[in-house]
Parts: sequence; C-alpha cells; structure tokens
Amino acid sequence: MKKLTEQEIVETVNEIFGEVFELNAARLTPDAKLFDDLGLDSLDAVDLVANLQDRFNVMLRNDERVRAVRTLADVYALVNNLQNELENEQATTAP
Amino acid sequence: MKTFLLNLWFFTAFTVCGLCILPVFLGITLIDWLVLPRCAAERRLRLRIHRFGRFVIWLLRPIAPVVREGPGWAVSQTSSCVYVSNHRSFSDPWLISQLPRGAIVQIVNQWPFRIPVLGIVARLAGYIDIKGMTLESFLETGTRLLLEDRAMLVSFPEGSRSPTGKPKAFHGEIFRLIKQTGVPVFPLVFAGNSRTPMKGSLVLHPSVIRMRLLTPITEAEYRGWTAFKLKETVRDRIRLASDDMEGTVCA
Repeated sequence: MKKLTEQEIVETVNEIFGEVFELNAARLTPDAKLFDDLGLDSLDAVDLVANLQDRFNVMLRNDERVRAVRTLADVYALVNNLQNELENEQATTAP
Repeated sequence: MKTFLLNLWFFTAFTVCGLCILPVFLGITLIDWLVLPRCAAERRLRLRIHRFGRFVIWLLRPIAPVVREGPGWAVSQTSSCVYVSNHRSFSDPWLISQLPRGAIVQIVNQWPFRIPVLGIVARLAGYIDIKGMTLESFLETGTRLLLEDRAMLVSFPEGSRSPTGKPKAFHGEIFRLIKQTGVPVFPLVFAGNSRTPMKGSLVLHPSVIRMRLLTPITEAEYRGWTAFKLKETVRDRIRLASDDMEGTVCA
C-alpha cells in the first residue's frame, strides 16, 4: 500500500468520521475530543478502530496506544506512526 | 425553616406510608411469583412500582409540584417504545411514574440494585443492569422486552448526573437496540429538579419540576440513520429543550 502523506491521512480519517458517524466536516477539528466534543462512546470507538484498520491496512485492536487517544489529532498521529512503523518493518525485512 | 418543615413532612409521610405499604407490596409480589409465569409476575410488579411512584410524587407536591409539558404527552402510544431522558437528580426514576403507561423497565447502572429493598424490587421487576451485561445480552434482553413483552423501556444514557446541567455524552447501547427493534423513541427532558435533591444530599429544595416529553422519533424517520446519528439527534433535541427550559420560567 502506498504511504499516505499527513494531509491524506487527515482527509481519510475525516472521511471515516463522516461516513461512519455522519458528522459534519465543520466539527472535525484536530483538537476535537472524541468523547466529549464528537459524542463517541466505547462502542463507537470499536467501530472506529475497525474502520481505521480496514482503510489503512494497520492492526489497532490490541494496540495499547489506542487507549491514549483523546482527540482527532491523536488519531491522525497514531495512524501516521503505525504507517511509519509498517514502512520501517517492510524496509528491514526486504531482501 | 420552610424547607425543613416540608422535608420533615415528606420524609415522615414517606416512611410511615412506606412501612404500611411495604408488607402488602412484598406479599402480593411473593404470591405473584409463586402462581404466575415469570414475565406476568414481572409485569404486575412494574405496574405496582409505577403506582407507588405516582403516590411518592403526589406526596412530593407541596415541595415540588410536577408540570407536564410538550407534544409527546398527546401521542397515544399503545405499543412498546423507549423513553430516553436526561439525568438531573435522584428523583428522576420516581418521576418516570408520571409517564402514561405503567409496565416500564428502567435501564440503570449497578448502584440502584445496591439500595436496600428498592434494589431487590428493581431486580424482581426485571430492571436492566446495563453495566452487568455484554452488548449482545443487552440487545437480546431488550429485544425480548420490546417485541415479545411489549414493555416500555426508560434509559438515562448519560449514565450519571451531569455536574453542569448540560447533557453529557450519551452511551450508545440503547440506540443500537432502538435501531434493531424499530420502536419509536421519545426524548424526555427534566428540568427544575437538580436540587430535589442535590447530589450527595437528601434535602429536597422547593421547586417546580418540569417534564417535557418531545415528539417521538419513529422508525420512518430514523430508518436510514446510523445508531450514532440517532443518538446524537436525540441528545441534540434534549439539549435544546433543556436549554430552553432552564432559560424560561414556567407559567
């Protein structure tokens, strides 16, 4: 999978929020808190993780860092980090 | 002084009446459980809780009369439905008795089940302990209650009282159940009872309690929505009504 730029990650994550939670784009600011500002609960978080996994082809379900996510900016950063880790992993295992 | 005397009146009347009614209440409940199928016994107990709640609210009238308002009261609801409410006070579950139909199942956290006597009665009435079950078993139990037992459910999806009076984020389980069963949902808004009593206190401060029942959202309206959108729509309508009620004086 092609590595996405930070801007592409932001757009794709926002797209997921728009599709899965039908949230207006105006509410999707980086400092928006997922639970307090956007109204997500633990069940919605499970849906979010599943959609992030599908869309970015990363594994999040057992990742402890998910628990530390509070804002939309945290989601962007987490996906970006996971993508970088995946790229490094592929680079080291490549022949 | 007036508050003290009114509280003295209420708690004396509540205790005396409660002690008189309780043996009869528990006796009938025991007989029902011995001779009736479980669902019928639960239903009859819910109706008795409803009547007892109405009596308690009647006792409360000198301190905090209840005003019912909003278009939802005029809707004749004969089949099962869900009431979703903001959570302002310990008195909220008692105020549920003002709703028109009696066989109501409240969806609660674990702590009400730990209240002496009331906790046992709630358990026997089949009230749902949302924290004590998985999402799957909640959906299964809720579906049975709504579609087979034709019960009314009441949910306080904030989980606990909002310290600011503004509705907190809602938990989503009840909205998944509503989507799954297709029943109408009535947003119910309490105002004026946040000090009747205040959190951590039993003192009832005089006030007018307002219950606004909004127009139900039916399946025809929410069919194409996600459970999240339904949750946010109900929360928005409750928030707007709550803001309006807190900002206006009851006529």
